[in-house]
Amino acid sequence: MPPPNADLATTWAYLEEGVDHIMTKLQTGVSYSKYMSLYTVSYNYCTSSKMHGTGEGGAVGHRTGANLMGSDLYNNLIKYFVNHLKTLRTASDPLQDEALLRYYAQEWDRYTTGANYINRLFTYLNRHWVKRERDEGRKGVYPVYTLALVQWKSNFFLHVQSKHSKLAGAILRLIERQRNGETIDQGLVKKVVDSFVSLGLDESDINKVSYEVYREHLETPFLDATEKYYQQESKAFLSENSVADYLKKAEERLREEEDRVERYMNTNTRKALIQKCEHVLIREHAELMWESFQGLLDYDKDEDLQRMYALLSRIPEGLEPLRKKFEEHVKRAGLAAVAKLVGEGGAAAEVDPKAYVDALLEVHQKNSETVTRSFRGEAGFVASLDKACREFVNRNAATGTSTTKSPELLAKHADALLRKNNKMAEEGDLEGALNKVMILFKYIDDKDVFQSFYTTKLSKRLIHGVSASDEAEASMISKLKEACGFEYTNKLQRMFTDMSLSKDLTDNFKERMQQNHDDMDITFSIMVLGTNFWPLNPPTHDFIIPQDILPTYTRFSQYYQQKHSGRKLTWLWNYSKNELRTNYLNQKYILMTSSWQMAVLLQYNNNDTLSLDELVTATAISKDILKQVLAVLVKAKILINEEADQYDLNPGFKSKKIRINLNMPIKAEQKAESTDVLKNVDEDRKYVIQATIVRIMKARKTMKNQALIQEVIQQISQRFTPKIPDIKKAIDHLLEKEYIERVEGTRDTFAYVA
Amino acid sequence: MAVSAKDARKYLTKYKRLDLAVDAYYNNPPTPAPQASTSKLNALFDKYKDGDDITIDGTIKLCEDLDVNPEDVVLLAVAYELKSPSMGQWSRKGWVDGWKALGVDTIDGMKTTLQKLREQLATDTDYFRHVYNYTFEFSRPPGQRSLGLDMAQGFWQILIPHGLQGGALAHVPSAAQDEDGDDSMDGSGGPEEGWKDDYTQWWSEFLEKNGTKGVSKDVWQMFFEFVRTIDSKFEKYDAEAAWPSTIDDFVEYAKNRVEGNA
Repeated sequence: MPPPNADLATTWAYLEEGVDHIMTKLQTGVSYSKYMSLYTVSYNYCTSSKMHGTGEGGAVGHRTGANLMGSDLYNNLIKYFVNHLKTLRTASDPLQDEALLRYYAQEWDRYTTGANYINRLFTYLNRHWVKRERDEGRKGVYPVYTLALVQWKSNFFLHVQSKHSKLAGAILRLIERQRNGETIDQGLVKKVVDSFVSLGLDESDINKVSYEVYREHLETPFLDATEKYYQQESKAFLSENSVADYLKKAEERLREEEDRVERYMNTNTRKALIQKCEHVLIREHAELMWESFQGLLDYDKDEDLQRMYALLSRIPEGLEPLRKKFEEHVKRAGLAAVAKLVGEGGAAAEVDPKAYVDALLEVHQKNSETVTRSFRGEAGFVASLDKACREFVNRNAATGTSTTKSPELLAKHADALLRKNNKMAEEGDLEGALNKVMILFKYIDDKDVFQSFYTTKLSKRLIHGVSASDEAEASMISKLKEACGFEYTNKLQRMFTDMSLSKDLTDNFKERMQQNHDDMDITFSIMVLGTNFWPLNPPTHDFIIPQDILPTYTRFSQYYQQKHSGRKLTWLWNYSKNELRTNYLNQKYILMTSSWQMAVLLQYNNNDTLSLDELVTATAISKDILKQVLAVLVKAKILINEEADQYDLNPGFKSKKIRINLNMPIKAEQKAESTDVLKNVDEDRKYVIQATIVRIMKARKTMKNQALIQEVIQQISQRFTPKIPDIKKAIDHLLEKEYIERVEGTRDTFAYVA
Repeated sequence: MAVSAKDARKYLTKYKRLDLAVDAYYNNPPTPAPQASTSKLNALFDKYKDGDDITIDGTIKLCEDLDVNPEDVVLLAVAYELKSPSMGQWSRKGWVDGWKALGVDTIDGMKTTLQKLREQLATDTDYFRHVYNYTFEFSRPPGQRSLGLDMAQGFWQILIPHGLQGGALAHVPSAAQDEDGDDSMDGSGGPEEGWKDDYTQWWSEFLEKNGTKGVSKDVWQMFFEFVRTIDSKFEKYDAEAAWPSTIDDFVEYAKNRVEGNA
């Protein structure tokens, strides 16, 4: 060991031997005392006060004065590293590919381990001389470990790379072999790749990692190679395989690449790599995928659809064409389903509500499942489905151009479900069937039309007592309420209230009558229904109340007046029904009749034969209606019509049934129902549009025509889709009534008239 | 120097810009209306009146003296000037103030003035609009919001041809209303044609066929705008604009008729 004040040559000779030992044969070990003495020598040299100048200066400039010792040692270290790396260079020159990588990795390990020790050996140098040089802003001076890396990079790494990127090329070739399906030594690749990262050096702050070397020498060529590889592969693959197979392939490749980053590339590469792959594997073939989408839909290729969705969702513009195509597809399916149905029944035949609803639901359900299963319920596809359904639910082969047909059929279907003895909803699944009605209801444009038909049908169910259950009725109403709000179902709920009040009323009336009269030979029950809540019209003609029921009629009228003075009762004979017992035949029959039939039949208590005119006089029913009433009775063989306009009681009437229902709706009434409902809807709409305009104008004071129309549409579209000419007519009307006026000097601005 | 609102409007309409109008006013002030005598006008009024106002009989006599047919369009302008409260009726105040503003107090002077009013009604769009709108107001039966169809038809038959022939209703191509107002030519060559005399008759027939009984103020007023702006083939009509729906329907009707005739 040289003395503390030994000169540079002596000192370095001693140190160099130790450094070389550590760098080249560390595996043979270095004793502690040896290490300590090396440390001491380097320390001594750095702290010795006298000058040791070599006189020639070194690679690093030499300063005089009371500077810290160190530049000589530092320069000698550089020289050592350069020499050492020169031998590695020579040894590596003939090596290629994997052999080169192995050599490189092995030397890298040895070198970095050694450099670590050397770094500690020269701790004092690092702490003082190096630090001071760096503090003073000198470039190119590093702590010893960093110095070793810098030397490795410039004297070995760059040298190897300079030969057609021999090192990176070797890595890329290995990766390509792996992509081709071979097994490679991933640990080896990782080691070399890591060295690329370690060689990055941020000049301004050596503690920071710089990916510059990695990026330049490895990442960029890697990405380029990846692009080229997959471009070729996907093109070749698609020329021999189906798109469905390609989807699988692409999915697999993307997973592999994710994995690759994980295994041996730097994580910073992930984003760029995946983007690159998505571009080459997906975007460049998106057109083709979009084209084959329809085929997958047509054959219900759920898994392939799923895959296509997953892949295309990775590029921003990937899904929109699918959503469009899907919308078209659903619409076509819906229209075709209805067209088929209409075709089956012949063009003129009325579509069966249940078949119609089932056909629509089937298309909806099937495609809704596709959305959930294959498109993960993504909002865009849900919107496409909804849009398509709205389209075909409202306009199809069964509706023609009418937007009221669908709500009518749906309401009729709901009516059928809610009636007693319906065979459609299997036991217990009435609730499910009603929920399905609601699915279609959501798509109905003219919700007000549905409301009108539903109200009419409900009133019939209640009046005739054919509702299946109060529970189901209530459930349906609460569903409608949830969908459209309180206002929508207000009337419906009032109808139920009237029904239960009527029951009490009937009971109370009976009780009272039993107390006061003993001649109540008639069973009587009454429904008192609020005019504004029930879609019922009084009879269109007069009616002479038969003597037999007149006392009951009078008593009830009085009773009711007493109870609610001021209320006006309108008797809806046209909705009433009666049961008559026959006494003129051997067998006693019970005839279930309408009021008109009852009035006619009661005439035969005193006559056996009557002319049409006599019957008109006796009942005050108009001739056309009376003829239809009589026709039913004749057909049932209760009456005989042998001479023109002459009706005789049939004394030989016979029937297998004891209870005979004669109360069939007459044709004119049935037909009138639909037109009535629609007429009411039209009237309501006029009113709704006007009220909406007034409300908007009141809030806004002045408004341009276009904006006003848009606002009206927007506010009303929840109930129905108002037509622009109807809105304009409402505006005309309000102008005329001076609720609004045109702003002076403008042609298209309206103002609210307070 | 006080400028009457009427003069101000006259100059502004003519010169469009305020500064030009002011210059013109001072360089070339309006010839002050010759002072008309209130007493002479009162005397004339008394000659025709029947009770407080001049009524139908007086009007007919007046027309005779003025050498004018009681159905002459100019009488609508006179009604506007004299603020006639209703058809064939003239109040003393309207009579005196109106003729004074026009600067005449003799039958001969009135005859000349009628010529001037007839001319102005034919050529001046704004003046035409005022008279046109006033016609609806004063001829409408008291307490009613609309004018009977036959009355309206009668007025249109005298007003519209008069305005067309003199230029007050000259066609305003729809493109010219755009703010940038260029590219109104569509290659068909020549300027776009507008309302034709026949169309007034079509309009009448359409309303009858439609079962229209009364014409609302809005339809009345918008019809004036419609006549000025519609092209002769009814092609540039915008049914989504704020036209009354009666006019929408008429355009449908007229289009069919144009095609049928072509």
